[in-house]
Amino acid sequence: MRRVTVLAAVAGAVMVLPLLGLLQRAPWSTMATELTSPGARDALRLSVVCSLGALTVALVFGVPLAWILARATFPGRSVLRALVILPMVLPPVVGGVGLLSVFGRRGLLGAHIGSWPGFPLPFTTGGVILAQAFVAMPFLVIATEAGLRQLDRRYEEAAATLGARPWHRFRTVTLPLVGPSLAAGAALCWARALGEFGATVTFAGSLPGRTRTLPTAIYADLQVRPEGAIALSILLLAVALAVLVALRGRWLGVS
Amino acid sequence: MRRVAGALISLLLIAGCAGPGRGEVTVLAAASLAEAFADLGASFSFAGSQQLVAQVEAGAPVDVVATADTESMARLVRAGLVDEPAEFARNRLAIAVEPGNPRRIAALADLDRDGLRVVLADPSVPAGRYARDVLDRAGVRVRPVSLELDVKAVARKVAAGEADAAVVYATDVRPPARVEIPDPANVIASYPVAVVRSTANRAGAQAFVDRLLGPPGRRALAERGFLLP
Amino acid sequence: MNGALAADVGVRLGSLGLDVTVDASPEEVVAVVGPNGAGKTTLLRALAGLTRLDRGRVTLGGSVIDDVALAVRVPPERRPVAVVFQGSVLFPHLSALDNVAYGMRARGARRADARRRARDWLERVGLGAEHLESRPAHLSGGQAQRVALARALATEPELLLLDEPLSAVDAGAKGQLRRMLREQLAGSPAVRLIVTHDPVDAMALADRLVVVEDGRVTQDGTLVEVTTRPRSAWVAQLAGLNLFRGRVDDTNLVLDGGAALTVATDVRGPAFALVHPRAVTLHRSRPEGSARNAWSGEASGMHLQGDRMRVQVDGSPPIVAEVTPAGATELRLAEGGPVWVSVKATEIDVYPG
Repeated sequence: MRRVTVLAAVAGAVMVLPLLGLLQRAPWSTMATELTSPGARDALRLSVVCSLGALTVALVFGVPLAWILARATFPGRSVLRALVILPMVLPPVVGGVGLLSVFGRRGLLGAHIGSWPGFPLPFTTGGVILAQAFVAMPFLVIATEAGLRQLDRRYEEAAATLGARPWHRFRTVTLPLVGPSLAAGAALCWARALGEFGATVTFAGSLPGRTRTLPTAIYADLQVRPEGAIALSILLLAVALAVLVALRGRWLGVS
Repeated sequence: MRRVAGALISLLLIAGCAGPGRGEVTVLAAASLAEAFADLGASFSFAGSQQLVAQVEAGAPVDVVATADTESMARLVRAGLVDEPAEFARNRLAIAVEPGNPRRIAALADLDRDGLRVVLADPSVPAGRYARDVLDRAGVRVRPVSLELDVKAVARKVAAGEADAAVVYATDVRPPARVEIPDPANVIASYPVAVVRSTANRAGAQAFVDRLLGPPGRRALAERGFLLP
Repeated sequence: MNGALAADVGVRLGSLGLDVTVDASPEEVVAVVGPNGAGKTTLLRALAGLTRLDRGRVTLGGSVIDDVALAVRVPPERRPVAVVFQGSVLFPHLSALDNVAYGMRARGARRADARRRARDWLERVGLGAEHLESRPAHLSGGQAQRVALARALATEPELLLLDEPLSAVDAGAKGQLRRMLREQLAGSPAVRLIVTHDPVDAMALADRLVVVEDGRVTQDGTLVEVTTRPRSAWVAQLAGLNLFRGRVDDTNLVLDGGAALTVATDVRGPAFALVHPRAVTLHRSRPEGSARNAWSGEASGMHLQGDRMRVQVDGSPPIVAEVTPAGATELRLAEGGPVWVSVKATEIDVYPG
């Protein structure tokens, strides 16, 4: 048991010490001005809006994808699952390059849909949302697929025998029962989107107020004004921590 | 258990030692010097000048540092981290456009056209600061779609066709994708190089600096479009 | 026949080939019995629409709900079929009340109406009011089954299917639950089909047995028919005991068929009586002695079981006696003719039903 405790303590320390180091370097006296500067406010607003947008995109497209991976049988299903996991493994910048090759001005699709309303995507807030969704969606899909697989099909069968049509069954039985897995996946997805940097900067660029999210702003500030960077880092940490703590227990199924 | 710990520690040591062999010189240099330095016989690491400064300040085990502006170097000098720096190259700015110049951009003044997608480097980067200066002095109000965090990224965006124009170093873009900015309106960037005080290979470091300031370095730089002091 | 079920079901599931024909009317409760793995649950799932037919045709009340040849298949949510699942399968995230209301809500009822009717149903199946808002995790096996039954009945189905309704209930609660189930089944206008491997449940709840073994129907008939004329090993085992149903008044057990047995028991009201064939003695004339129960009948069938002779005696009530082959010879049973049966009151095992 002592071995376990020691190893766990090391793991905990590796996670926590850098955060403590940040707090120790923070410019507490000027924190208020740092965090209320227009640059900081813009970055925070963009980060929150875009990460939530990315989460929405992930929910709308990722849940059906998880459903298909969990329930449908078709040739190539394991290949599809591997492709879905790919963005988790890829360096984010590579992801950004990939997105450009499709949605960029000369991209596979981008060249043709460039004149549609809302397009083109690079250099826009929409582009940030797409980049974040691309890297973060796999977390949601994998967690939800696992939850769906573990679900006892008999509940859905019972609902069917009681007269519930497929969409009604999904809404009233499947979703609530897969809820905890879905919520855990959504929390991870959102957190990943919030911290996303490489794909965002490569695909959407870095313009304050439009595409410069907190991580990008931190990177920009880092050497020129380290105090600003640290203040923003702490802001980012605080936002993430607040949401994850609020989600504990009830949603993630742990107490 | 002990075997696992031993294996982990060995791994960490190996990782930490994954550096150049004995006798090799490690040089930190600004991103815009990547092509010019390629054949100069050292182990290189390229990044934006601000990052270079941060790494030296954090005690990176390097021998030489070459930045793209004198301000960054001055910080290192003030902190006593480097020896006396020497200027080894100069650079001007230029306008990068898409191959073939489809938007017919001829001068700085064309950059404030409506609907033109212009990318600049962020002011936290020397190239970005210089670009701002040049544009301000020319009285041109540009609304950039992005303020990239390193000048290579700026050049890449235009080369890829994502942006219509950008202001970068003349060395970052070759004609015909390059539109010159006349000298009076332009800015001359000065590139200093210095030996890092904490170097473990002072002889090698100094040899590299001499090579850079001498014929081999000057030739390589001139080929890439740098101006020579 | 109006409301009746006519099912011809052919399903291949792995190594199991199910090939059965079942007809049932709303007038009787049918138990589908047989050893485990015989295909009973598959049959139930096929009728509910949860398992596809490979061959066959199912009609309910005249409407076709499944026809392989004509490629007609009504999905489970549109069949007027309700299922009480083994282990109840209550929705874990809903209270007992909302579980019962689910079917009504799924068909468009308003929340308040559905909950009100659900409350009525739960009262009928005997779930205490204090459990209405409980989650399934907080209910005992017996309580959960009550809720499951109410949930199914609340949709007013034309066909009610029950899968091993008492298997998840512990022995102490079985008697009560069986009683409740009988009452509710009796009051339901649906065609009612119970799948069970427990012969006691079958006898207690059903009017007719359909015996399924190895995917085939081996016997189909009333309780008495099936158990007094066994045609397979499993049923013979089933028939190994004499099981009677009736009401106890004082020292009399009045059987459903009208006859009465004198019994020694504290039980009152509806009851089962179990008599082991060995406790039944046969005589050629009216017996003297302490046995209080004696009646005459005709020896209608004999077969050797192991080293004993099992004798069916038709009478009031019909009973199976077990005698030695020598005893059978001595009584000259093979010649036919009236034979007297006697059973001591103390040998009749009475328990509440």
